[in-house]
Amino acid sequence: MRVRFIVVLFLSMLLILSSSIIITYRAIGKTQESVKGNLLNNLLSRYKDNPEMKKSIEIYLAFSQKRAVEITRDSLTYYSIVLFIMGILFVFSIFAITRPIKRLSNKVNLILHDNKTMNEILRGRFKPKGSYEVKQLYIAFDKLVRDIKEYEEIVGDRERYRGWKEIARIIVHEINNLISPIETYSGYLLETLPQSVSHVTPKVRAILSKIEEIRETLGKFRDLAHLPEPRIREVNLYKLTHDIVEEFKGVEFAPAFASSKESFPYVEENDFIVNTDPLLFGEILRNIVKNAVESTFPSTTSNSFEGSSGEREKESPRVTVTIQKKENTVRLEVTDNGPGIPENIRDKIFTPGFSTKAGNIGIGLSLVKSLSEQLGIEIKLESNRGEGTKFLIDLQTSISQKQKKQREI
Amino acid sequence: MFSSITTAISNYARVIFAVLGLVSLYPNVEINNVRAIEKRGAIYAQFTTRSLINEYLLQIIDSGIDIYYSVEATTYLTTKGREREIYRNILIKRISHRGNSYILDNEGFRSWKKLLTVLNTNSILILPAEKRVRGGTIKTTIVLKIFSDAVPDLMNLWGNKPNIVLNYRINES
Repeated sequence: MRVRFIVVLFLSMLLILSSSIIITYRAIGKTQESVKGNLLNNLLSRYKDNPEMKKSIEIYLAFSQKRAVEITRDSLTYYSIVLFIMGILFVFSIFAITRPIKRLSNKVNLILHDNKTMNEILRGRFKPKGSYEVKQLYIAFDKLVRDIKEYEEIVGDRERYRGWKEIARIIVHEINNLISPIETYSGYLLETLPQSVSHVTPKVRAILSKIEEIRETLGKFRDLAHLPEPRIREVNLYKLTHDIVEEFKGVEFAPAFASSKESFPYVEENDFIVNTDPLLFGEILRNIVKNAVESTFPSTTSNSFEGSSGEREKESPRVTVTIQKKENTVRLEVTDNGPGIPENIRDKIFTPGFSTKAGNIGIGLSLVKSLSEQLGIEIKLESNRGEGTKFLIDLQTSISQKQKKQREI
Repeated sequence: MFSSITTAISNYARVIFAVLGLVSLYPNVEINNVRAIEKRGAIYAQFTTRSLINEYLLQIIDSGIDIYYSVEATTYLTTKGREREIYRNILIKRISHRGNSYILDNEGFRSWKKLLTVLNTNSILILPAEKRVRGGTIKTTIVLKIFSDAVPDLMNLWGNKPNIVLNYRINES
């Protein structure tokens, strides 16, 4: 880059010098012509009988070009000195400008090839040094690296999820093909079994019952593989949450507002209108509540987290769904007093197929993750081992979204 | 249009080169048809010139100033790696303008062109018969000059410093 700058500078100086020569020479030529036209011709006509005057004028005219060149050359000396000084200043400026960029480029190269520095950037421990501009560039680069890493993870997750969906679809199809004849023959057996072997009938019924369970599980897989596109519309989140909580026995619905105008804080149900897809959001909420229920109530499923049973014996299992309005947002909280999620597996709970509960296929929370990404909802998780887990969902109210749009317009 | 632009550019380029001292804005003196001839044992150099008296010199001559045109031939002999001068000859011609005539030495010309015809044909003795040497290499330099008592730097009105260098060897026979 520096070489290019210097070449451009050199060419510019050459151009300035050439232009200066031409301009100066032309100016002198014009002056000479003017002198010839006004003064010399006048002198010649006045002193036409004076041969010495004529000689002097002719000599002057003959050498006028030479003199013009000499005067231009003298001027050129001054131009050259000025240009030389300017050139030096420019070169210094170019070096001053490009030095930080060069340093930055070297540092970036160093960072790209140095895993230790890269890790420091990703952990936010890298302390930039140098001038203000360099620091700004470092910070921008730092942010860029972090964003790229983040996007990389999102893209990776989506790709994994897409692959997983495809596998789920194939598995559902294949298992359905396999169990269909079993179900048909079992049904046939049930109908045609003679009285003499009536003791077999309960066993056949058990087979059919298990087949039904398999079909239900396959149904979940099928639903996951065929998630519909979100259809956003205004939804009363209070009502939706209420309906979903109703599906679960023992789950407490605790709206954090007063239901009468005399009490405080009083919030109307209409204040919980948000823009979302009710079907998909309902699925998110349903799965979070279900996960909380499964983690908390020992009767629904056995919990595999160790070391928490002693504390839990003291407190009766409880799952609470809270809804509250906070300025322009509606906050949903699903809280349980189950065993909590150990920190080392907190990142994995949204991975398809991952579950700590025996007999669980690990679809629920992965479905929550993919649906929330589709709807652009952030789900926060707070969990302390032995104290339970809390899922937090914040949604902007429909009114605040409208106001925001109006402000943007 | 295009040719006028080209001419302007070439003129400007010539000015730039002239200021940089690479060329002159005055016309060059051309020397052509150079040859060496032997006449009664002596060797003469003959050549023709062009633009010897250009418009600027003509202005000066027309104003009544006498100018001198000289042809100076110096002959060197190189033997055993040593070069020494063996002969020098200078021809000086005075060019002047009186009344309506141009005068070359004592010869008058009505027309400037006729004077130029005479002036452009040059012949100078470069090695007389008695100076003829056998063996060794001979080099003759011929330098053309123009000068005047009234104008000290008249040579500047020529675009170049015309000269000829002749290298030759005289056969034993």
